Amino acid sequence: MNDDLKQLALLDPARGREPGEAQWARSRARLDEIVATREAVAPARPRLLRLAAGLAAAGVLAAGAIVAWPSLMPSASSTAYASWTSVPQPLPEADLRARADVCAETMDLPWEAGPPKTIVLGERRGQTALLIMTLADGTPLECLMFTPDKLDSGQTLNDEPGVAVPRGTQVTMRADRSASQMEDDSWVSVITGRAGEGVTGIDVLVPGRADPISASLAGGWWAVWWPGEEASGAASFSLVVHSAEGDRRLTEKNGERGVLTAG
Amino acid sequence: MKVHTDEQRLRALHAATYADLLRFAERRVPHAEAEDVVATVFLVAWRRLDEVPDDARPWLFAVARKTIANQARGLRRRAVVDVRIDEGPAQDDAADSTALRLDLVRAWRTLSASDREVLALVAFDGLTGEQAAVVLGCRRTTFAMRLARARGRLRRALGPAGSEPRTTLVGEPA
Repeated sequence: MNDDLKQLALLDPARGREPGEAQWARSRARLDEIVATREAVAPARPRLLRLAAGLAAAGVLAAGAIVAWPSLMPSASSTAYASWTSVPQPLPEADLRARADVCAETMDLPWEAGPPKTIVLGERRGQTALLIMTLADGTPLECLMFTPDKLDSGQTLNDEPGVAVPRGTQVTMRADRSASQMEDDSWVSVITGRAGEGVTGIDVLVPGRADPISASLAGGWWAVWWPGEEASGAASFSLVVHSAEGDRRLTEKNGERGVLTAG
Repeated sequence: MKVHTDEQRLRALHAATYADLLRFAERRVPHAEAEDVVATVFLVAWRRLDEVPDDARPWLFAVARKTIANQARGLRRRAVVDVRIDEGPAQDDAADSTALRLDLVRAWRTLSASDREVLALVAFDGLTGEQAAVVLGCRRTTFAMRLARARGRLRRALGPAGSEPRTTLVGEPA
């Protein structure tokens, strides 16, 4: 090493430091836990860029969740809401990759998750885009973007314990739905779920709203968003599921998020 | 018995690199967070054990650096992980050493975080240029160029143009 760099080593804050016995012991204990994960790797905890209203109010956000609010121009959300439509439009192919990159970068996920790999679903309601993608390591990620260069709400969509991937005309609705509060105190709700290959369309009935909202459906996923905070509450949502077999209505069991029953 | 072999390899890695990794982390995050960073590194190493090269230390440092970058609660990943310094005089510092330290601290503060990171990988972490390039994920020649530029700026900061440097670096023309 050159002499100037040797002199610089005077400033090394860890110069001459050695781990103490207690640190070695703690680290060995953690290593034991890590080795034990090979037999039972825990599912990744969801990463949120979203405020779950009820949980946040109670101060009990899930451990490990990342919750943050990007800076928003005051007009961003209000403009987005004004152009919102209950029926989605396809997002131009040219927009998908750029938005996916912005979303994945902003979510600040563990580096091993990697960049976006496959964009599963992309929709536009007015000026706002909603995407579902899988990252290089297979992690599904949902992103809501009022503008092309900024993520406004996002969440990883890891497998939910005990919930099987639906087949045929089956559908699931994620229990971790939530609403995001924007900097201007407005709210957006996002609900996503999975759908079997036989499902041709899904309409979401939001409690207190007269008109259904048509979900986007692609690649075995469905998604819907709207201005409002209903997704953060305890109200039960209903779905009208369209398929070649006809339409049927499914409703969440009272007090059991994501548990759908006929009727 | 691959699992058994893997476990032995991970434990050997831990024994060989834990102290270095802890120091690497302590140079960049508060001490209270350093152990968590190191634990994350070994978790990643366990999951990617097949990718860990024989010269594991730079690879593990790269994981630690990315872990620290990802821990930023900002909305964007940090491209540079800043390095802390020991600003206080050592108890056994002689007067000359104290003066040198003050000069170095003053010069260090004028450098960009990017320059500080490059310099620290060599001066603090003791890596070769090739190893440091692995940590930063760049080519060896790129690192050599960045290091040369950072050292040049360090020298200029230690001896501002138009004035005699208070400290003459050993090996430099006076």
